[in-house]
Amino acid sequence: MSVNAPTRRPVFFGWYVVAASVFIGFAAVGARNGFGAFVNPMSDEFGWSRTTISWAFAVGILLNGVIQPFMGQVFDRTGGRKLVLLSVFVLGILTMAISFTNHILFFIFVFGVLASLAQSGLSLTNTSALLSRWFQRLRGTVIGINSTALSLGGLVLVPLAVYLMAATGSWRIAWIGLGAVVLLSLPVGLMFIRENPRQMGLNPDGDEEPQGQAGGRPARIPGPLEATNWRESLRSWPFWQMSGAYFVCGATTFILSAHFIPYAQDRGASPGMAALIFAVMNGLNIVGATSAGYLSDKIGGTKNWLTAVYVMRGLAYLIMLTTPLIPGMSIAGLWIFACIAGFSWIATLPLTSSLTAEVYGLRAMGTISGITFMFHQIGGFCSVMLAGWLYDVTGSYTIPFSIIGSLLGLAAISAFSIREKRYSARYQVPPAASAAASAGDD
Amino acid sequence: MPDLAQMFRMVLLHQGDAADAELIHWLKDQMDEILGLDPWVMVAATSAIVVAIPVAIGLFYYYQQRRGGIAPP
Repeated sequence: MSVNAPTRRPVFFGWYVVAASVFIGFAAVGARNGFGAFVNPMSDEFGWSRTTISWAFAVGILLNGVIQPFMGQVFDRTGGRKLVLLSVFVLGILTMAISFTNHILFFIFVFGVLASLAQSGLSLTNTSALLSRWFQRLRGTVIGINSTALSLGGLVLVPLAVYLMAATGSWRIAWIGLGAVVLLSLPVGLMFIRENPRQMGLNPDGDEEPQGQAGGRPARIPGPLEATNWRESLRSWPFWQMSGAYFVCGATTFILSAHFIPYAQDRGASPGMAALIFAVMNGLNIVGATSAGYLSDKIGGTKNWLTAVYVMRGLAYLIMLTTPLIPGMSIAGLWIFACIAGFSWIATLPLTSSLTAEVYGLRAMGTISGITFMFHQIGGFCSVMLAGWLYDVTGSYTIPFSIIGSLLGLAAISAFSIREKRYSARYQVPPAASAAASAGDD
Repeated sequence: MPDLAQMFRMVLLHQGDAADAELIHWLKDQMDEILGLDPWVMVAATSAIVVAIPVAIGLFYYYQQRRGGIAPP
């Protein structure tokens, strides 16, 4: 028996936090996104119009965007675990309670108001802030992995809701089923959602030695803009540069969510083909989000990757708008667009979140991320309104897509102009090393 | 101009593209055509996947703990 046999290092507990966070996001997003599957059966039973039932989703959307900074503040003040777990429990119960719907006001109140509030507590901005405490070197990677919950929840749970309705013939049972999935994530959350590694005697990234000690990594030097209060961030450029770029991100993605399928049909794609192109674009989200976070961690230069994502999306818009001018390229142009845009769709989320953590630190990250997220939502709202109005005026999506797409140039400039090396904790040099470097320069 | 509620509904679909009713029905039709399974079978299969995820996380953690690698939470 070899006493000195090498033992494999156990899996860092932070990875369980990531797994729990992804599963919670998966269940919550899936339960909310199942809305589309219920539009027809609920409208048919109660005689609601599409517009009437859509108000529940509309109210939820607006409330979700507006409430996010406040939920971020609650997250920062309480540490996060209690907020996330309470939100999971409440969202699960409320999702089940939707099965009691017998009036549109009940549906709007439960789905649109209460459940949206609960969802804000476990939003990706909050869970990204939580994961940022567990990981420093791999921060972008884990936030990217966490972002895939957006796509995975819809991919698995929406079909579950559809088939539950088909099997039981009851939309009420389908809501109960989705609520049960949300509640299923509660034990995982209880076991693995921990506010920070120190609570368990661990170090970020699973390092064996604390930072600044012999054998450990050098102590982390906070950046000059590290914030103890979210208000401090409002007085600095990086916050507005990231928020401005995020505004464009929301504008250029929401407009596609709202108008891509009808636009593709205008260009000659069948409804099925248009839906397939859109689905492929969404599927590529997963690859785009995880690879963007990973590359920024491994190579550095987060703002450069963020710039690249905006440039990539701008290129996709350019291809989408110019290919109809080439004979026979109309549908092919849509496919090329979907492939390029798909990679950039949610890749901005891990990059923006990790840059926020590096520049402003973790103490107010939930609130700061919540505010930047609000800009994202405002951008999306404005772009959808503008596109709808311009379509009515011009009879085409070309002009609104051109206007909104051209904003990506500004977003790229905004992201590229962030002075990351000056403000990011990642690039702060310990005073001793800095002095040595200066002496060397002399 | 499109109906205001309709636009509201679309605004955050970036966070929930799968909510698009047209896409959902198209996907269901495609799955029915390819797989041709009874809805209950689809429900059972999807539920098994969903339940397997937290169970797998828990079992893996338990396995690691038994190897003495992780302190209990």
